[in-house]
Amino acid sequence: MDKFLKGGIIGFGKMGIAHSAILNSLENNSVKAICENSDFINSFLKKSFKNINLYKNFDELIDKEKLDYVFITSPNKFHKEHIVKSIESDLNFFVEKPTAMNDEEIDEILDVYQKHQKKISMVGFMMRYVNSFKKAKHILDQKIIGDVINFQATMYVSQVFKKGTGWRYDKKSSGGGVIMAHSSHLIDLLCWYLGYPSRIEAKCHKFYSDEIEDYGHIFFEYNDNKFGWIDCSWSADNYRTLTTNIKISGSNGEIRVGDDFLEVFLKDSIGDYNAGWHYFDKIDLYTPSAFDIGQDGYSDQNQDFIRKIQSNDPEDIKSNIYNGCIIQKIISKIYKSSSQNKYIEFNG
Amino acid sequence: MDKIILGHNQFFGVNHYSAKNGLENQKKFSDIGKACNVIEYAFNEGATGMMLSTHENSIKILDYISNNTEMKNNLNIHILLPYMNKYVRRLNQIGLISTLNEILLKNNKNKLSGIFDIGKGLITKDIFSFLKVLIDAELRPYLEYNVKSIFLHNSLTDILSSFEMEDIIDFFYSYINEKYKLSVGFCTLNYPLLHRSLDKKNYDNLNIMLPFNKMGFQMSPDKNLYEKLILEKNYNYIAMSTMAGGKLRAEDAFSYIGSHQKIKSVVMGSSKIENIKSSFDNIKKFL
Repeated sequence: MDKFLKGGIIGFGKMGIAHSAILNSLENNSVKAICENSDFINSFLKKSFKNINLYKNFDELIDKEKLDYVFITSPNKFHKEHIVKSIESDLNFFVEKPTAMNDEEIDEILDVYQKHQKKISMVGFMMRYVNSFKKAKHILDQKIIGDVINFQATMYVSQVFKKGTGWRYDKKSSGGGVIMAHSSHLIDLLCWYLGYPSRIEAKCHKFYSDEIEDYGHIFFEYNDNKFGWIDCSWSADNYRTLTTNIKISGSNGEIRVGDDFLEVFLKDSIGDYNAGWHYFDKIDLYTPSAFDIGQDGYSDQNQDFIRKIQSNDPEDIKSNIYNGCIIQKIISKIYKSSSQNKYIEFNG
Repeated sequence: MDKIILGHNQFFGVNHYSAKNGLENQKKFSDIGKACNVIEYAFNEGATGMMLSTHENSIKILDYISNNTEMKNNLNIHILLPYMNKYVRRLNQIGLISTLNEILLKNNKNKLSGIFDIGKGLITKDIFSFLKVLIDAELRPYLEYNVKSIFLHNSLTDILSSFEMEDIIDFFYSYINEKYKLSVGFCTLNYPLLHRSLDKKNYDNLNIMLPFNKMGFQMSPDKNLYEKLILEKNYNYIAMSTMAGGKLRAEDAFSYIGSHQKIKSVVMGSSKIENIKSSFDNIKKFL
């Protein structure tokens, strides 16, 4: 039987609530402690969560609790501090994306990570666990569409149509706008599919926000001559939920994949796939989850994290802190390219 | 509970199977008259209930229903509380505390004594007083219509179940029952967890809206478990996702539902008049 795991949640906002609900529903696992600095939320938690210990301070939580892992769901500006403390405390940890605010913070995380015992780490790139994107990865890895030539990817949501308030819209707390908040998912997916780019060019624009980008257009080139672009915005009309679409062209056809579908066109038959069109919708690709939070990916992601702790296999997590740091470095290069108006070389 | 309840998602551009189809419906039903035509057709074909979330456009639909005497008196309204996307968007825009502050600020300040201070925002330590204000605020626009029951949205139900927050589940049941004299329901995507939370309760006339279909779509974690657990209780089960997003033919879908005698109601959204008749005919045949 698997070991019973005890977890802590660092930051009990929207994502902290969602992750806790999933974690609490998983077998042989329970949330035992929450660290949250809002008095109001704590007063509510104190009355309602009888079996969960509450803390206002992460140090105190680490001192007093014997936990197997922590979920870091605090605002972005605290991620680095919480990641470093988790590593130094030999705790397995999950951190919501983005990994940190900037390159300096990433370097500090990597420095600490390299000096300590390697525990299980995961950065919350949950789109890897969405069935359509997962199947696309499998098809790409099998080279069903041949050698990749180029891609076009978009990510839009109707979210910001006036200057936002709260930490997500304060550059000092969030580190950036739509690229940090949402497109980091898409950048991670593309890196997972195609590897890390070697040259980056980007344009970021703001319209509703003062300090952070509402729109981004990013161009990636790779050492093997692949290339492609990303277009993203959180100020796009008529996208009720975050909507992602990726088209990848290869020497034997193309893949079109979104949050709830996958289409494959093949010039020549290969393996089980005949030449022509193949279409899979959300229901074709459906697999039950341990807990359905109403959005695909989260439950399977958390289950995977817990299973990896139980099997103690740090190497098996591909969206680990190391990958998360590289994605963050790519985002820094995107911002740098936009502000300097030039191509930036990237060597991972 | 009504045997056939018309769902609402299609009218608000919500499609849990395909965002693309959701957008198409949003375009189509931006003319609210088209939504009303579907509702009237469904009513004439035998729908005696309609589910509506507290989406801003629900009031337009209810006003239309109220202008038709037959529907006004005979179409039962079931409210799904709240329209979650509205709050998720605000959470993304302004954060958790500011969202709660904003909801409270919109409400009658006399009722907020001890809960809310204009200068400081939320100050209460009494979660139930706070929840009462939230529920009252959300329900207020709907009370003048033919509302028969109130359902808690699956996101909230499932979070409460996961944390075993049975005192809040109790509170919701009692508050709706006692203050509003309405039937109470919980919508869930994780019925086994809710079943566990309700296990020791003795709620009368409780409505449970849950995914139930031959393919097991959305029946997490296990279709067989759903089939087994519904036999243990006498709740009013309302099946949703019955046709698995159109993957099942109406006859297959509803013969399966009909083979589970505990399920006596179906909530079904349809954006096309031509699909309603065959679906409803099969519901009437098998349930």
